[in-house]
Amino acid sequence: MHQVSATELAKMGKCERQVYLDHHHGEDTSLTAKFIKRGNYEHEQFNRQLSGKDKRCFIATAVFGIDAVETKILRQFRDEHLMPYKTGRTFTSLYYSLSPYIVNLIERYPALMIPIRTILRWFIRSRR
Amino acid sequence: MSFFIVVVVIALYWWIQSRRKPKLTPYMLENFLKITDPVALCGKPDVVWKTHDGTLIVGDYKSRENQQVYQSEVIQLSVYKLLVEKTQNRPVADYGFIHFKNRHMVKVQLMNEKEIIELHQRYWNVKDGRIKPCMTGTKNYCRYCSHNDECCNE
Repeated sequence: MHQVSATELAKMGKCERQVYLDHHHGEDTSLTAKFIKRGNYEHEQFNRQLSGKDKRCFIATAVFGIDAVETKILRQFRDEHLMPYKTGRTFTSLYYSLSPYIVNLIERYPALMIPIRTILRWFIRSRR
Repeated sequence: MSFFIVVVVIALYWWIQSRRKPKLTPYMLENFLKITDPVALCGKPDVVWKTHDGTLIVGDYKSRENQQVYQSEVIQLSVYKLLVEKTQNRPVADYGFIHFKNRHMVKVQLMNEKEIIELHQRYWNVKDGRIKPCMTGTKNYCRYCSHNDECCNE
């Protein structure tokens, strides 16, 4: 018998008539294409967060550079000490919503880089 | 002085949190699974979590913030549970998690193997026209259905 995917069987919980009509008249996804595309993108983001492949670390990237050792250490700290816990995830989420504004400030006033770099370096040293 | 106390409290909280073992760790991410027994099913669970004691829990990500759980999602997650149960030699929880965009997660009680087999049989009966299919109870769902015209004519 033909293999049924979980997504296909799940349609039985939405509308059985759709399952019948999809089979006999073909499935047209043009109406839902936009939702599917957005869903796929967000699934990818979710997967990257869980797998630790999420490269976002805005302030550290702005101060040290995208592939700097310091940025990698901070990413590692986020993945190992923040992401596994609910409070850590909330903190990371808050950080991601605030950090683009801080990065804008750093770009506007480069002098801010000096205290931020000092604080981050102190934090990295204390983790070693 | 009060600033010092706040710093000490934050540092202490951080230290306690970092020493706590995580409750769930990702065991499998978007792995394609398929089975032929008891019925032919396949799927790609978004995430399978592993608890301290080695029990696996299936999870599915939904890109919306509204935390309502629909029957179709319970079916999807139940199929994932059966796939994980039959392909991994580990105990699988009879509940799963639905993860929402706002990072909230909802615990969902899943269908058992017998119920999935019955639904699978009904699926084929509906598809082959052996039984009259039920219509959705939510008219809003029809708005995005490409069969809207055919459905009204039948």
